[in-house]
Amino acid sequence: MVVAFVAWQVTGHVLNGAASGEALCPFGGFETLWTYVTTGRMVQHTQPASLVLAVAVIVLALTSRGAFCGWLCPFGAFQEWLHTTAQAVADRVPPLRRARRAITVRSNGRAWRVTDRVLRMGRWVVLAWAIVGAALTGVMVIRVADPWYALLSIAEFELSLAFTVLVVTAVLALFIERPFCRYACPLGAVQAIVGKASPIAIERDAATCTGCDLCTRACPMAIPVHTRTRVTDSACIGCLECVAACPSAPALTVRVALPLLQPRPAGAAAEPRPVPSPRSEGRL
Amino acid sequence: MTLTGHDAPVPGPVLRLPRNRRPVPTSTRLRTRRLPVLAYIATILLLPALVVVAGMALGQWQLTGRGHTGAEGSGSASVNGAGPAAVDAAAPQAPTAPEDVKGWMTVQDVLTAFPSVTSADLLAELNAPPDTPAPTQLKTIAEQGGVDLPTLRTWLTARVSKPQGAAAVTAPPAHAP
Repeated sequence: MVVAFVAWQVTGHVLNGAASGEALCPFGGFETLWTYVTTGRMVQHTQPASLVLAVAVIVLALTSRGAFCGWLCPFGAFQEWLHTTAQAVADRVPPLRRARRAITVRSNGRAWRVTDRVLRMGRWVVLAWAIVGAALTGVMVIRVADPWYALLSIAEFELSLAFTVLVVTAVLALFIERPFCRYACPLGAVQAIVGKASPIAIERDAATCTGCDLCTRACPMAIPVHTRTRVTDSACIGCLECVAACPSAPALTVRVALPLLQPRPAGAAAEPRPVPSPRSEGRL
Repeated sequence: MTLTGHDAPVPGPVLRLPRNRRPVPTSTRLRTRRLPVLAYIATILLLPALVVVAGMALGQWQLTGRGHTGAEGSGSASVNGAGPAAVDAAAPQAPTAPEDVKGWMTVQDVLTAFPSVTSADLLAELNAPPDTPAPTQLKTIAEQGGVDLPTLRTWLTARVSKPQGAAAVTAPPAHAP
């Protein structure tokens, strides 16, 4: 629905000179916030609608963490479609299937995990660059390398750094789920900070969990859900893929911790409960 | 009784559990209630929509800085905080400062906003032909090889801050009286 709305806006912009789709980017609100508060002006290429959307993202993050990324972000959907399509093609073409299997077998899992962990810091770097840069210079410094901007202005094709980043993101998305969300999205970083206050999270019930790790495999952000009790990772986008993939239905549920609900006493966690599978005892 | 899990010994610190207790994954200390998935999805969809509606009601929902008259050639910049009603009313509002000059504004908009700037000077600065129509948008001129907007703003700032007499002296000889 959001993708359709943005596509309609971009088409209108190209054909009729309507407002640019950039005005619908919530991150523009965060970029322009300092300039708006201190001078009353908007950073170039941002509009008041960006501020409204930024507030909407904050409200959403306060209630349900990164749910904006999982349910509303059109660029996340773009990457997800690319990945799903690539996987579907690889499933149906035997040489690609064999190549994928060979890569999986030969890849160094530990090296990849370390690389992945280091690359995930990129979100914070990009966030700092975008916010501080916009505050200091009064312009959207991230725009030169923003793949979302490049995608919005694809009709006015121009070989630029932003377009290069878009191509790299698209290629990576064929192999990795949501690469930009994982490693570079500053809006995801903002939600990771604000979402710490969210009362809603996915919880794993160890009593009914079979430890099959299908939830972990389904997670587009590669969170090891099957080792968590309450998924409060900053990377969680609340997409519920893990919940949908869980074969033991009540094992993963969306739960809300309201302020009126008092915390359990410290000893309550050690109450005896049946342990269905040794695999579920992996991480305590 | 030590927490070893199975027959194979597990390295690391040994946790002690009360007698007749079995090891289970740590439970959260928060008291939580299950939230139906449909309620979760409804929350995700409704909350942003409510914020946007509130923004519209407060007059903050603007996707563009131009009013309707901008497309018609006269142009207008809606003030931040002015509501959709203000935009719809299309009250012509010229830029008040060189920093407010936007690409969608026309040559006429700039001339109206800065009376000290003459059409010939502006078009010369923009590297545009002298017979360029006044309703032409600045971004159109820039795309056709004219100067970019930051350069134009800098020039306008210098020109506006300069006294009228000095501006006349520094005007190109071709346009001087």
